[in-house]
Formats: sequence, C-alpha cells, structure tokens
Amino acid sequence: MAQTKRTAAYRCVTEPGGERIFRFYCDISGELRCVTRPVRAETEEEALTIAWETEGKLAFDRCRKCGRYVSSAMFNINAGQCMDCAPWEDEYPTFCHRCGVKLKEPDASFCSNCGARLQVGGTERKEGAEK
Amino acid sequence: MSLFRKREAAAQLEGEGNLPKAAACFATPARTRRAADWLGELGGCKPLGILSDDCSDVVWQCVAEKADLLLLETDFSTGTEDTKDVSARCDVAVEVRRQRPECRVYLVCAAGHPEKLPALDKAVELKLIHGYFIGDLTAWQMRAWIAETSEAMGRQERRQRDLRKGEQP
Amino acid sequence: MTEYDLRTKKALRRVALLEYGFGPETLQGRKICPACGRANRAHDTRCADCGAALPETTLYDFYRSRHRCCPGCGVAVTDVAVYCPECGTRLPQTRGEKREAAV
Repeated sequence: MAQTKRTAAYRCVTEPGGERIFRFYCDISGELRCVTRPVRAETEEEALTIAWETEGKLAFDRCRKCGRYVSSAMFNINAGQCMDCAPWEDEYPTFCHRCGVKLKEPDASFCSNCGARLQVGGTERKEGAEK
Repeated sequence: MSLFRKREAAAQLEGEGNLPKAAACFATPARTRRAADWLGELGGCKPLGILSDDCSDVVWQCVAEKADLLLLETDFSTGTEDTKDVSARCDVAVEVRRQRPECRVYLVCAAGHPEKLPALDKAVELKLIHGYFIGDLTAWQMRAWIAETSEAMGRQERRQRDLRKGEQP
Repeated sequence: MTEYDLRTKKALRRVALLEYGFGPETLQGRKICPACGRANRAHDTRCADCGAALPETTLYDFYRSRHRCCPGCGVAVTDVAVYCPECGTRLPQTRGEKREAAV
C-alpha cells in the first residue's frame, strides 16, 4: 500500500525578504527536479504546500506502490511504479523470463511455451498465479 | 493547374529538371509558406510547401509530388492538441519513407530545449531521420542537406542504370 | 494506423522514451551532481551548475546497483525472473537486501 507522503524530498531557503524557495529532489536518486519561485506564506508548512501544489509536483511521478515521488528517469512508466519497485523490463524481450525459451514473437504479451506474462510490472509473486 | 505544378513546369523550362524537390512542413501554414519562399530564394532545389500538418496529408503530398527532401518543424510548446514533438515527427518521417524511401527527412527544432537532444540524436542514430537543426535554419545547413540529397539521388540513378544494363540481353 | 516492422516499432519507442526522460537509455545518459543534485550529461566531468566534480558512474550504474543483475549481459532484472529476458542466462536467486535512497 502506498505510504502517505506529502511531497518529494526538499530543501527550503528563506530569502532576506521572508519569501521561501523550495528545491525538490527525486526520492530515489536525489536529482534536483524543481526550484520553485519565491513563495510568501505565514509558515514554512503553508509555503511548502503552495510551492508543491503550484510547481513542485508537476516535476515528479508518484509510485503507486511505495508512494515516493521520483523523477521520470526513475519511474517505470509501463508499470506505474518507481524503478525500485518495478525495474525496467524490455518491451520487446528476446527470452521468456520464466522458462527461458527464445520467444518467436518479442511483442507478444504471454510466453507461448509456459504462458507467463512477459511484462510483470512489479507484480512479484502475483505473476506466478497468472498461468 | 495547382500552384505547385506551375512552379515545376517553370523550373523545368529553365533546365532545373535534376534539382531535388524540397518539401517544407512547418509548425504553422504561414511559417511553411515563408520556408518554401526561402527555399526558392536559396536555389538549388524545387521548393514545395505542405500546408496541412496532418500525417496522412504530408505523406500523400510527398508521394504525389515525389519529394526528395522533407523539412519537418517541431513544436515543443505545451498545451497543443496535436503534438509536434520529436516522436510525432519521427512517426511522420517513418510513414513518408515507407511510401517514398528515397525521400530524406530532416527536423528543424526551436532552440532552448536541451532535454530533447538525446531523442534527436537517437532518431538520427536509428535512421528514423537524416539529420536535425536547432534554431533558425541557416542557408549553409540547408545547402549541405540539399547537396546530400542530390548525391543520394545521383547514387540512386546510377544504381537504376546499372540494373537496367544488367537486364539487357 | 500502419503496423510497422519490429525494428521500426522499437526505434520509435526508444526515441519517445528518451524524449520524455524515461527508460534505461535516459539513465545511461545522465549523472547527478553530488553537491547540488543537478542532472548532467554522462560525459561531463564537472557539474554545469555548481562546478563540483561529477562521479564517474551514471544514474544507470546507480539503478543497477539497486537490483539483481544478469551475470551474462548485466541488465537489471525483476525479482521474479528465473532467466534473463535479454540473453536467456539462468539467474541467481533473488537477494533480499534493503536499498537506501540517495537523498
């Protein structure tokens, strides 16, 4: 189940005029993804919410499994999960990952030999129940 | 007779029969017209403007007019319904070359989008397009592309001549 | 919609993934500055923003270090894979190590 994570990892810099600038980072790689415009608010919490909602979250994809906010590079767009939860799978594999047979049709969805789903997309143990 | 055919007839009368036919399909019809006029002033090619941006229209016109070179302009502005990003233009390029393999396709992209460079380089590496240019297309670059296209046309003619010789008894 | 041959489909997909910053080729072309977090090109040695020295490893190396990899071709594989989908090599058992984020 996805954890309740409000924003990506961030650092806050307060300007001399009291405005706050937020720098949002990928939760996995630490890549700087967004430097917001200065935000004026009563508290840092409020400023963070404004900065995240108006600018920050547009620069991230959210893993539907662990809830982390990651850069596009660390997001498996085919699985809808981060690359930690769902490592990248070649969309046109050469061999079946379960039985090892050489696939006749690399763009097939299932192995013609053992019936395994070729793109498991981070389903882990569930994949075994597909056959 | 269409405007484009009038231009072709005039060009042939002037002895320009062997010049490559350069088609331009830019982000807007106005830009396409300007590009076609610019190509005409540049010389060395027979310009052709493709005013419809629709993939099937571009393909149809390139095939019908026997285009030897196609300039496609990308448009990276967000919020447009029909995308003209690198991937979309590569789709057009692939379809044009499927029906007219001798047509060379080049992309023209606005400056200020360095994140697109890996995709552009990959498109050239994988031979989906023949090249690209970032910024306002220069006369120097266009002449180089026209020269490449003329060379390719020459090679194609020589191949066809050799094939015909081989078929003769 | 035209049904393209596999080579063309793969090529178009690779370009699309790179354009929008997804997939292993994006990771291979990127290095993260340890000082400021900015993404740099893989062949850069200094951060374009802050000038700090960049690591030799790319984001792809970082990604591979967080997964089981095929001993034959080196590609990262899923936890359930018994054989490598790229080269067909039989894979060692899944390791159950915890991964720490770089942040």
